[in-house]
Amino acid sequence: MLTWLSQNIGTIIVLLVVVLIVAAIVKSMRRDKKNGKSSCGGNCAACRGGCMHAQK
Amino acid sequence: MPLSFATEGEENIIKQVGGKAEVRAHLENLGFVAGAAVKVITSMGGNIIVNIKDSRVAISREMAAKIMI
Amino acid sequence: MKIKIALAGNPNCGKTTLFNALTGSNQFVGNWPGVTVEKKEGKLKKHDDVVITDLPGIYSLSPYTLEEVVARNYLIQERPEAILNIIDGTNLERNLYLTTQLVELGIPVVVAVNMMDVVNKNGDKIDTNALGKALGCKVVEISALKGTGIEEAAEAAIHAAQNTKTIPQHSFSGVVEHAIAHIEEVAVHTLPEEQQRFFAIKIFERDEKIIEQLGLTQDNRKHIETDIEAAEKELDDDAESIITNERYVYIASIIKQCYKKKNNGGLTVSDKIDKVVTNRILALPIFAVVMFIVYYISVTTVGTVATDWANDGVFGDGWHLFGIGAGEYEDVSGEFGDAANVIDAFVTAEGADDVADAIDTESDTFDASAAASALDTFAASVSDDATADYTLVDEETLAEEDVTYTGAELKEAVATYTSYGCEEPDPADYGVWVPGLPGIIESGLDAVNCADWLKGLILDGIVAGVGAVLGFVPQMLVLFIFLAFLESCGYMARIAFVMDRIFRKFGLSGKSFIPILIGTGCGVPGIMASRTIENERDRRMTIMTTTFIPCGAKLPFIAMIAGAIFGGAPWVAPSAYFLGIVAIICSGIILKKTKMFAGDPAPFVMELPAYHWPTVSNVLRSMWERGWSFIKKAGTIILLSTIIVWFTTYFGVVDGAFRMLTEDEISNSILATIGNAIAWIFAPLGWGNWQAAVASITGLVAKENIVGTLGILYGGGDGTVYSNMASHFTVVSGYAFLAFNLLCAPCFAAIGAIKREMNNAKWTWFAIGYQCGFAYLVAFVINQLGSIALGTANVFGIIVSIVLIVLFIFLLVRPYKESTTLSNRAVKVK
Repeated sequence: MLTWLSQNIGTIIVLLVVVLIVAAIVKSMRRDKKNGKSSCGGNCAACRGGCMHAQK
Repeated sequence: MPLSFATEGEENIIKQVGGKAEVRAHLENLGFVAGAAVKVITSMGGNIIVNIKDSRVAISREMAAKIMI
Repeated sequence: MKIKIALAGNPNCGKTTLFNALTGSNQFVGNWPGVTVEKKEGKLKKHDDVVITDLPGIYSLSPYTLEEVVARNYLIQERPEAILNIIDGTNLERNLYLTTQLVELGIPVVVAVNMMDVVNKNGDKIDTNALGKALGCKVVEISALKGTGIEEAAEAAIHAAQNTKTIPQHSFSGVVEHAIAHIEEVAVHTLPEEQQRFFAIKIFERDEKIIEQLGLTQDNRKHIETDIEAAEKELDDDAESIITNERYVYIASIIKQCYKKKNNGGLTVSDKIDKVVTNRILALPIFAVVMFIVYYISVTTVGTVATDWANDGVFGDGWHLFGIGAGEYEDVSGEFGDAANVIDAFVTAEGADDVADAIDTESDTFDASAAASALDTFAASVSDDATADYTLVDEETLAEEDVTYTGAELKEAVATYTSYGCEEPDPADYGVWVPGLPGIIESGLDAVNCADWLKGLILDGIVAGVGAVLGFVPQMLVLFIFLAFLESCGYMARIAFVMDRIFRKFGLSGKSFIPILIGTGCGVPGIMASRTIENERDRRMTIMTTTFIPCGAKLPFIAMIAGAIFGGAPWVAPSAYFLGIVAIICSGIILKKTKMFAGDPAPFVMELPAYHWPTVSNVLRSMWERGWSFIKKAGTIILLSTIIVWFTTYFGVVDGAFRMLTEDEISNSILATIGNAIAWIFAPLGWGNWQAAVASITGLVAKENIVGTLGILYGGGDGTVYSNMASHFTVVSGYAFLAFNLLCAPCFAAIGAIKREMNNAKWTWFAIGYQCGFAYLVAFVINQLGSIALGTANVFGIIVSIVLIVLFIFLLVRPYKESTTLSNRAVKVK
């Protein structure tokens, strides 16, 4: 068991890194959803908010 | 005559603003009231851009037809 | 004690800039309850107990538009401690119209005159003291853009909230004041004193909403009515107009006291520009030229160079830092390449296999000196006049050229070749060479002995997919700069006006064009921009068609098709936009003629802001905001999608066993199975292969995914992504593929926006269905008719296409039936 572990330690570490990154991404996406931010241009503020939109 | 027939660059005084209550109120909010000076800057197929109360407003042909000068 | 300050003023951005400056990032953006008007609140910087609410931009406190009602209700019901009224110093008269109403509310008002920098530059003078005296409140000067006077304005507002009262200085003419006094007695005497005047005036104007809110009895109303009618008779005008007129007269007198204009009567610079830009003949061509320049520079020139660097360099083999050594290397490798061609020609002609083996650098037994001597011997054996033919193939254009080399040239070539040690020059030896990311990552993974499958996931999946998308970042940044510039300088507003003339012919309003223009950046804010369209039907139609115009995310996809299948032809990208606009206009025409959408378009009234040079920081910030969200998207959604795509690509069932696949076996993968199950749907469109089908599906998550997915699916094995793609698509099917993905349903984020704005599931599904159906039919016709040119026409398909075209033309030109019911956006606010 230990030999298998030491042989594949590189793979395991890299895999762990990838999993952590994915988890971080999912978490940040959930957080954005809750704040109502669309993952596109952000809220209206991103497109110079107010100007054209508030016009009649 | 309606504003749509005014000559470009000429300053005119608005005599009356017609149209439905909402439309009229909106125009008035922008400065189109009786007695106000209005000058046509450019006209494009009936749609015009005018200078009113120091600002630039673009209005469509139907609206321009309801403003009498 | 919490102090509430309301920010009120005309539309056109001075407010938003000020709000941002006052609150920094401590903002909360949402919606006013029950309506789709945006509500912004934030804490004043350095003042924890002060909350600033940004009210919607309004021209007055009348009850006619949603924004006005929302703002008004907030002021009456929430009674903020102070109002900070922003007015445009270059536009005093109209801005003051709102001010005269605000000071009547009984809430302390501080007037902030914005754009003072422009006022001063024009040489105009505003006497703020006199202005304050005339209005009855404090007046400060600010420049929200430059950031001057902002803190003073906030302090003044806080001071006003705590200490002062704002007393309106304006009186109406006698008979009106008489009526107002009467109304105050009869109807509003129960209210606090400072509020009475505002309500009384509104009652005089017969403001239905206020009358309702106050719960006036029929008796009261009849009583008041006599007073109002008396005033109307005496002044020969209706109540509302009386008030409006008198306000303007009052304002005119203020202006005379406080405002000295330098430029009198002549046309301003903005006017002169407008005369050209909105000229009846020039306007559209100018617009077309502007758009062409924007896209030419961002996509075809700067874009291509930058993308090549990203795709072949950063995500490829590597690149020279700042180009140091690039020129040198190119000369050197060119020289070596030419020499190699000559040698190759003769070796093949003479059938000298032993020499070929000796110089083969990929062989295990390669030895530079042995190769050199083999070549020398060979060259000596060939006479100077001997010839050999060769076909040169250009790497990029695949153009072929036949040449003939002489024996003398062979001797020269051998000399050159051996001087490089018979091996291709290594770019790393010249200048400063930065190896590409995949290489670095690969060596890193090898160093820790990473398992093959994980290496595959990272290199062939994530890096390949995300890299393909990130490669387009430079292009996007350039495009975003242009769009930000156009928006900020004021040109966009003119465009809506110019397009209105055309749109009106089709029963649409020019206001529908703004969402489309914004949609060229991202579809989500474009869809939300439809809120300015009052007419409900027009609004729904605009929402449905906004995403036809290529958004920023579709740009990499367009560029990829242009590069892979059309050899980088510059007409592809503009044609995509042309296709989008045509689709929108045609959809507008067709839908307008159906019962669901018929009706007169709302009249077009729009204030055009003066042209001004946008500040560099604003433009850069806007570009960076969008660019960053593009990159973030790549690092999140797209990254996750690439992992899923990679897994389903490289895992499948082969000979009954589920295992990881090699590059040649991916047609057995899970993804291929799914793809094949649906690919037949797209066969009539010319691209019934599973890769294209799957790529389109991933496009629903994010349009960039099409690029990412194709990057994975076509990236493995021999050849580059582009060449692999070129072999799977013809020009016709490629364009049909492009058309379908451009027009079909947008990404999930945009679909979410559609759902929010439509506020109705049925309409949302209708919109999606319409888009996909339209896309399918367009791609179908393109493919079927295009096949005629390629000689692969299908008779049945052609017949169906012609039927579709006839139907389409019919829907476009059939007579227009007026609808019987006109519905406008309901102004229902609690």
